[in-house]
Amino acid sequence: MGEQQRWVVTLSSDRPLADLRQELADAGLAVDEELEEIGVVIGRGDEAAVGRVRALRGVAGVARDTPIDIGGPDSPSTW
Amino acid sequence: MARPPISSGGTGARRGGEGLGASGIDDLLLSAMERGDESLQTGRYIMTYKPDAVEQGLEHLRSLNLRTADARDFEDQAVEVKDVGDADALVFPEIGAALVSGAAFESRGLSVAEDIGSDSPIETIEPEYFAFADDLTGDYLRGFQSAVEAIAADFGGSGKREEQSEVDAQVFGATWGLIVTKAILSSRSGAGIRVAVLDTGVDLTHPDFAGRTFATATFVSQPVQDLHGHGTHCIGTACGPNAPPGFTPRYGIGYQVAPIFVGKVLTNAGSGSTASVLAGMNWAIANKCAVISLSLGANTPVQAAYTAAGQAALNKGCLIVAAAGNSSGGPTGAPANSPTIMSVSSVDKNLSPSSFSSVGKVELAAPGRDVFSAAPMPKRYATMSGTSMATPHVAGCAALWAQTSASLRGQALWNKLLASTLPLPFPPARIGKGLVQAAP
Repeated sequence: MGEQQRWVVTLSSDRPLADLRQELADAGLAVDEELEEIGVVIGRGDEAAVGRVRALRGVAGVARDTPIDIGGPDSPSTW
Repeated sequence: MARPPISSGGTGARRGGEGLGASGIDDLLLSAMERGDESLQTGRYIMTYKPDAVEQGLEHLRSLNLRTADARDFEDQAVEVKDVGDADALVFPEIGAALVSGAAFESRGLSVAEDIGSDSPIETIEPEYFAFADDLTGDYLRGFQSAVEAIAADFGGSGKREEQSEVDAQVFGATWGLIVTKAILSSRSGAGIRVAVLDTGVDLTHPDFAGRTFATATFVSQPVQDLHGHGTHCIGTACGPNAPPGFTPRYGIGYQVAPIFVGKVLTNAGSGSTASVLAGMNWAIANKCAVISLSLGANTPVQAAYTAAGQAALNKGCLIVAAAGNSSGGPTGAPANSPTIMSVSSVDKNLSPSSFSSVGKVELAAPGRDVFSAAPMPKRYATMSGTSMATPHVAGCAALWAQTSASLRGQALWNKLLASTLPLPFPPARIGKGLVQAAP
């Protein structure tokens, strides 16, 4: 298995999340969170899994989880 | 009500439309704010007469060809300034003083520094100042003392002129941001509106929030208690109290927002990720928060997940507002750059765009320079700058607007915020439609 990273999977509205659950798991994505209100799934997997997930009907896109940093308590506001 | 008799000393030429009744006190206050006049003078003048010299005072006013109204001509001497219409002056015989309009005062060559002769009926001539109500908690003296300091500074008496914003804060009893957004003039409080602030959490022990209802959740494996300060500051601006204790100016807009939804999506070190923010957005939408405020972001292109979250929010009657970022002229970051999320840039006290603010995809601007608000105890308060500080001004104003009508949700609330901005003479890339304004 390749390097595991955290991924943000944006669903399209054609299929409900419940239908996709098994297919995401079969594709190799370990789902950490299902954000039902906004149609997003957060999960872990390698690049190969991401490729399979992207091909699923009902998946609008997959992107790497990106960091946010507003700076520490003593730094002047950075955002 | 029948118009009262108004006496005039002669028939000379008159300036039209400048009588005392032409402008109400709110008009005068707004006019002063709009031209950046921080002197607290209304533009009118008060003449105080020597004991028993009121009749001579009246004669003096008439000799200047001023149309003069007399409180005695009104039933029970109950007169409102607006009732005197065209009159240039209004005499209060019981207290031996007269109010004179600015236009009349200046056109007759009068001045506060006028040498008053010993045979003149006038004791003093001074500018009229605005007066502000204070809460019935003994804070009356705060406003009075601070107003005296401001007036003394004006006349060069105190020797040292304080930092302008501090004087404003003391005299108006509110931060500059609440003044220019007109939040302090609003009749609304955010009552019945849910506001979510997704940030570093909040100081749950802060005395200024005693008695407020919080709903909290953490998405970063640390307790919601804010050990950073950023989240507490933003929540202070969006939802802080109407009358902070002691000599503290009011710094919060939606003072009756309840519950205040606090989503910790950034750690106490200020870090997070798209996933933690999305989880917070999901939670806020699931809890039907009409306003969701995000003073955070990353310098990345539009992220599809944020756009989806923003669309879901709008579909469900929620509005997500986010800070454009402090890239000093660089492009708006994510999530603010999503088309379904309202992007907020920052302006300085003089209402020009803050130099640190990002530009480009900006929906509107709000106060972001030297913003005074809450900080975790024991510090209690702090002054910070950033589009992070501008964003909760929009969130607070949005809560006030949402309170005015149940139909102002989601896209309708977005549209109302943009339609009600104060236009500013800068490109839309820097300030969007203009400066956010609170509901009246």
